[in-house]
Amino acid sequence: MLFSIGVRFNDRITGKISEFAKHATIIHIDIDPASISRNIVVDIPIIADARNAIGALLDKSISLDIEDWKEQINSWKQLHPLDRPQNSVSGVTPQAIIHEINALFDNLIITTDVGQNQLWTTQFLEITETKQMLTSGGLGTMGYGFPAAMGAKLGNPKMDVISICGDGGMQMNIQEMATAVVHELPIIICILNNGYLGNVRQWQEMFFDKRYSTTCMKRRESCPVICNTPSEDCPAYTPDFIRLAESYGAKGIRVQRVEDIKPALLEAKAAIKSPTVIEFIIEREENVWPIVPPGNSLAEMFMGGENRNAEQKVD
Amino acid sequence: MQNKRWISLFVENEVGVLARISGLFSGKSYNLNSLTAGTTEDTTISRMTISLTSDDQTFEQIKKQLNRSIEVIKVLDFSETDIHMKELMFVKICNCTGEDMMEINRIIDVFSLELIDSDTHTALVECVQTENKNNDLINLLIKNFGGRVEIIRGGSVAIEAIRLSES
Amino acid sequence: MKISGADLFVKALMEEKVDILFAYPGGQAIELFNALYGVESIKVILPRHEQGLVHAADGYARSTGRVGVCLVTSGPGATNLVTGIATANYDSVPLVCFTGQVPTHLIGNDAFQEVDTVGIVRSISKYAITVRNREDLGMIIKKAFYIAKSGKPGVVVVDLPKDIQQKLGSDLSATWVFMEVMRLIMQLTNVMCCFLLVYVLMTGLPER
Repeated sequence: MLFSIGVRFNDRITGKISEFAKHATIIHIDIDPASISRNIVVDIPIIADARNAIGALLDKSISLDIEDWKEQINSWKQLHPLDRPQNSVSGVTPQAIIHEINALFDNLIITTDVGQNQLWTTQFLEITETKQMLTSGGLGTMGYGFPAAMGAKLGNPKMDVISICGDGGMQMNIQEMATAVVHELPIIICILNNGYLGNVRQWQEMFFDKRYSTTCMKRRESCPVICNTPSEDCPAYTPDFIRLAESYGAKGIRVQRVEDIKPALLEAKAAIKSPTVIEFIIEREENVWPIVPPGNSLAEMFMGGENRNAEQKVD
Repeated sequence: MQNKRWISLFVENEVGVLARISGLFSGKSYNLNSLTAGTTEDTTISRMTISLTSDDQTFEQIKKQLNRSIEVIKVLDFSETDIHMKELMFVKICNCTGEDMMEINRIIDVFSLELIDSDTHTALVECVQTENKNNDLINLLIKNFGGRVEIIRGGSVAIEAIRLSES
Repeated sequence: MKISGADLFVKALMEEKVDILFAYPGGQAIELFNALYGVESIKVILPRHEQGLVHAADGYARSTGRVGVCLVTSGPGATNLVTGIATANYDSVPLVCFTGQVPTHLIGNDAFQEVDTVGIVRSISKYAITVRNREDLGMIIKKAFYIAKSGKPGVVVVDLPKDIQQKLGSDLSATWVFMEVMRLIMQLTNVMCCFLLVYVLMTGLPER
């Protein structure tokens, strides 16, 4: 059984539609009739405000003993952990960063931008009653995360607010650093800097033979026309996010070692009147796993390390 | 399976509603055949008759999307309803010989049309009948008069029948 | 008492209990900003780009459950909102975006900083309207907030021509709607029954 509340069931969720939850009875609660059975046909549609529907269902529900089921799920999680082996030398990996955030923050609103930063956050972030994630899940707008974090802080001054973004997305609305500073918003901006438009780069690695076309954010006029081998010789990143943050009157911290992750977050958490930018230097070709290539069913997800068909089509 | 369907919409008589409805069809690539609109006995409400072609699932989605629009008051699906439906069409046939004119008059009689304007070589016929009958008429006219036929179709207007219906 | 459209705008926002307004000024919105000057109950946040302000309003709305409110000027101010409007509407976030517009008599004349805002945002918003008559302003603002947050929430865009902002008119906003409803009720029932109904409503309202 699949119990869904407000789910869009679009291509990013279902993968290949004909293979999606083939044997499941699907219950779908949504306030919008147009969202029901639009992409996949559901078995029990419930058109209602989710709050009312869940309340009414809870009134009629009976508690079951599900300890066996929970044990089964835990054993699956042990067998197939989400944490993937990382290639990182420094240990500054998206997993490590988000695990630390999970540990250090209780009352939290976290926004993501779009791309790998969004995918890592949704994979590793703990969502509880006191932790909320805001993300541009529908349109997938780069540049959303940082200004949304500002709005969230203005609306919830007592909550800690963290914005997780990539080096690309951060630059789309970087001018809002001034707004955050003048309005004294102590939000924590975590830039996962890999020097690439990472999600597209990963697709280029997986499906286009590493033809990194227009995805390198370090690329300069002096670089060779064709390059898919990031190295120590690459040009320095422009801008220097730390100096940029400081020029705005905010605090900037660069993290390049795993032991510096926690102190940086704690220092940012302690700020009262101004935002903190923490730039995490992560592996340039860090990948998101698992990943379902477009057109595949969910069961055909790539876990990393497979030999992939170079002719895999991307639509 | 793609079928032709008819719906009638009650919408607020506001600037931009027509653009919203037609934009919905074009934006989502729904196959709109014809759309007519006009006010009703209530000047704040307009009524639209829409003909479209789609399969069942898409048709359900179209009705839901229309219902979702703020300006749409009511959506009537005419698939299972008896309706009266008529389309206004003007046809002009040019370069007519005397024989052509006689043929045109015969057609007018058979189809119960009206010759509303003419000179010695041109006839303008007004046709108010169902879309299917207009289709038949066009085929006939083109067969008889080829490229000398000029047509303007107004799209159909439909309303629920009281007792009788025509197809 | 007659007040300008701009003053009615501020009054209506206060009645909707708007506490934060994300705004970027310009020529066709300057009257509204003039009316906002010194108003303490509404905190106005000035971003550095309209895209920043609409995403901020989105983050505010998602995290508080309240309606996010934006105010920008005409032309490029409005078009810079497009990405944010689409982002919010796609994820069913309640926003009301007020956009300045050239005066009604200049609409369609390729005036400076004029665009067909409603035409541009129509397909990416739940509802969009240009206010053409000063007397409709209060009702339209009330409707905008209601539409934004009811049912499947979404983005409502209200385009405000400059002459509407300047024109003097009724100072009734949300209360006007109540009066209209009362007038209709009085037509249906006699006056005695109406007073009884009001009494029941005033004393018998359940706690939320």
